[in-house]
Amino acid sequence: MIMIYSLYILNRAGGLIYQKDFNKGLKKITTNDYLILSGILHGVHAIASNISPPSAIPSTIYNNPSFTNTNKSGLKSIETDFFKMFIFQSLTGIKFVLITSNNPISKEPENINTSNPDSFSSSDISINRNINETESILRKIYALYSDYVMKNPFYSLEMPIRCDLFDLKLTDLIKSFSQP
Amino acid sequence: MAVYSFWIFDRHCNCIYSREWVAITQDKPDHQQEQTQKNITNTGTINARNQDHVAKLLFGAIFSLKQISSKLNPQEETTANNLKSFSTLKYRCHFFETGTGLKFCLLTDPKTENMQFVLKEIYAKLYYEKIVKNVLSPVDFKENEYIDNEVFITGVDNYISSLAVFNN
Amino acid sequence: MSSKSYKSLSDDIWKNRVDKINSEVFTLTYGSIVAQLCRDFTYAEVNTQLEKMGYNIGLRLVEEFFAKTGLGRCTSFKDTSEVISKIGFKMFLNITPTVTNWSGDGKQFSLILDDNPLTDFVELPEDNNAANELWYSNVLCGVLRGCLEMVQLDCDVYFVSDVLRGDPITEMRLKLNKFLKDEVPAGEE
Repeated sequence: MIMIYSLYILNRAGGLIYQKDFNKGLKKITTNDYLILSGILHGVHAIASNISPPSAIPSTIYNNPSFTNTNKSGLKSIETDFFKMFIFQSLTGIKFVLITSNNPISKEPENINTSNPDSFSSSDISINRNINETESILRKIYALYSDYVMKNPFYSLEMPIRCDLFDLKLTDLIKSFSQP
Repeated sequence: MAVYSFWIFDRHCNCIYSREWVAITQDKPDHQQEQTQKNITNTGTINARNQDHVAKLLFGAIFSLKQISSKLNPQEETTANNLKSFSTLKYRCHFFETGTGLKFCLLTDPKTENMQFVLKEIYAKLYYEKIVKNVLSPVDFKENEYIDNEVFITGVDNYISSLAVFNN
Repeated sequence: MSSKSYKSLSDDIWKNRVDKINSEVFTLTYGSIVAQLCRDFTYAEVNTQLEKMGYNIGLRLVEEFFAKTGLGRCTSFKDTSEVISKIGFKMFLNITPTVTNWSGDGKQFSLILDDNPLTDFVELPEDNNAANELWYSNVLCGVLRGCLEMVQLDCDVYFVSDVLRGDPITEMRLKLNKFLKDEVPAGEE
């Protein structure tokens, strides 16, 4: 069972409009750092489409074909020692970035073992396994966004999101996923 | 399952080795597939795109993603949070960096996972054995200098094609 | 995606995934907006205001459309017209306008609305040139323009005829000006 650490929402220009931590797990950094981070993500997302190998064929790792109808060549996921990051971009250019734990949740730092190729550290466990799960979480978050943010008449498009209802519903959604 | 390319960057941010493999189409009859598997060494390009914008973009993407992973590191500063891979719908880039600043990248199809051990093997068994231990080959490459050590190149090709997970 | 599968998708969405409102409340709310605007502005200005309001609605409504349908980019303008009439209108208004009158270059088409929930019980005033100047449902034009702009299609949307005005049918025309290639988000093709 994966644990969701945080969610970022980026507008069409790559600016951070929403950031929330749901569970402790990541280092707390300043607002400025979050803004820089989202700018980096926006940039790398675009660069990733230009590095595509010319002979690359689109993937079949998603069980649901509708999961592959947007963001065909931009960055989709990142894996590090301590977390996995998944990116969903809607057709309108809004990016939802979800940061989750590796599974099982590792408490000790990984031991990089250079001599034995068969010793996989626990975080090597399949990123493809939870790719479908996180994609459906991200789509549900997109549905919440389209309801509680878009339909709030006092919310200006592309601006930081300050909608209490959205926060509330989001926290409920994430809680429901964290129940084992 | 396919492997697309393999890149090595040094600590001076230069691409010192690039190897691209041409994808074999799926519709060849079986016996021809077997032959082409063994002929992987004759396909693709070697060190053809080291100065290309693709190499620079790849390096840039990796550099930026490493920044992100280190910024969000939950542990104390002493244990680093290393980038392992990133993927799009079209490819997955597996990444491994040594303590000396040498960066190994392998681009495969997105279904492939856990290529860290491959990169570590390439570093430990091939790079170390063939390049570092070879006193006549440079270890600190100048700009525009690439790895053109035949033994290393064929070693990498054979190792990659021997991996059970690829039929490329 | 075929025409039939659009229909079944939209039926499924309408039945299960959208919240519904009493249609009279909806008609009355829209009617009172138009009526107030008519008191405050001239008919030409009302048309502009309605279109502007619709445009702002469309910019936001498009996210709900994608969130609920999970559809991707359309492959052609013809595909777009099918999606608009069979899924878009069905999802939000429970009507399925007909797509007709394609222009030679495939960049213009008409939507014929057989019934329009905005205009239930509505009669335009006999005086004051309403029948000549006011497009009562002009908000729909703005909504379509806003939605299409968010997917990088620059379109003009306007009414050609309206049963409220005494015409035989209610017809909207969509004209594609251009595809905004520069604004396509990175990663889409």
